[in-house]
Amino acid sequence: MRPTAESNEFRRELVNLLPKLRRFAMTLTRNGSDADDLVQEACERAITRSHLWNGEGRLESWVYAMTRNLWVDEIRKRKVRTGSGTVDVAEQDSLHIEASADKAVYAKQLHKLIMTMPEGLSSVFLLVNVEGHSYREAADILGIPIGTVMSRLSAARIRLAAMISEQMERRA
Amino acid sequence: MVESTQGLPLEVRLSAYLDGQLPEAEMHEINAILAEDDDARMVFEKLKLGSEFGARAFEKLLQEPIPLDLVRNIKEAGKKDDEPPKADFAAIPVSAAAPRRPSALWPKALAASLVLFLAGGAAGYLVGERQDGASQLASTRFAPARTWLDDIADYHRIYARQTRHLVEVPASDKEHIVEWLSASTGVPFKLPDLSDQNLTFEGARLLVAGGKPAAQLLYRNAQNEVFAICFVQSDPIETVTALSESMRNDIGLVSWQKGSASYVVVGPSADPSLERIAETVSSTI
Repeated sequence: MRPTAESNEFRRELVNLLPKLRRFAMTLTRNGSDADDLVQEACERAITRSHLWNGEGRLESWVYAMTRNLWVDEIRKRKVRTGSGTVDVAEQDSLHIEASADKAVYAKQLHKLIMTMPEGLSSVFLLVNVEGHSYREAADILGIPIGTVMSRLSAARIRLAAMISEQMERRA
Repeated sequence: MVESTQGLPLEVRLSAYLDGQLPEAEMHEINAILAEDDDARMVFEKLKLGSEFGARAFEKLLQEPIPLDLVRNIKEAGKKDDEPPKADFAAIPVSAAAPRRPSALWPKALAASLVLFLAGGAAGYLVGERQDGASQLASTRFAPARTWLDDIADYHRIYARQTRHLVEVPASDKEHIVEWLSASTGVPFKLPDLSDQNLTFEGARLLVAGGKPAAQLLYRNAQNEVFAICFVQSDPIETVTALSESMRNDIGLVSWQKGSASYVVVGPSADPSLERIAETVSSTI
């Protein structure tokens, strides 16, 4: 069992990580309430397994991977419960982008815009383009091949460019 | 850096080029393509635009307040099993702590709602969005509106670190503080005594929050942490609103409205006693 001071320090690091962890969770769940629940579950799991954290690398990568795994488990459970569930993009070979999501440019809230991006795109974009993870790190966190990271990153950028272009055209 | 992108679609290769992830030989190849091919340049510009726009968008997402109970639950998680609560860290008894967030992650109803959201919920709210016009630039439209609480959090982040100059008017001038801030803000008040919460009144400042004069009453605890009570005049209401908790990074806020004023108690986000302090303040100020 970890000494108290070490355990407290780990919790403090988790709390400091919360804004980023919550943002990452939102790219997975695309739902603020689900994201908060997911973050809570992930943090509780991280605390109970903190003795497994060796302090090497980035803590966020370790917690991100845990968060992603929890979400994949949850998606599987939902599929069992509902008979259909949501689409687990992380496990697909190709993405199915809904036409309705193209209209996201009208969304007032920023997070709604991001939420309408398919899970696989926004998570990769966040990890690589925003947080500076390498392709390999992003692939490890999300449990997908590097090639998929590359194709999703490219698709995310094109989609985001289309969003801003459409918005500017409407304004003109 | 990836080993090779030969055979991948051009936009994927250009995206990797943008990240500097191509092998040296392929960098030269893409340089040549961009020099000669207008379509490739157009795709590359789109990738850059998407990259920059998305980065700004995600940065704004980081500024959203974190639910305070999420922080508390992390502080408390597993503590019952391995250690007694410490005075400087989540010092309230477990039974008095905020209850664990009831996980809404797993019920069937929510699963169904998420399916609905994916299937067409986005289109639903977009219809509503169209009604209020789609004429603003995304860069301004998506900027979250700042409230007076954002200003208060910013002030607290700065002033709470002050040692010699924490306040404008010291606690020794209590009478003057009440007279001065009541007149300046238009909000009559009594100085709350928070000694039961182990907080010592240090003095006060006059701030501007949300474009209005705001009073800031500053207290300090035994661990030298600074807490503040702030208030501004607001549109009158007949009742008292419920306490509302929010977070701005390392700052926790518990706010409410009563009569013609809006109030907030500010302190370290990790401190679970904020709500109890706010309850005391709301009944005494």
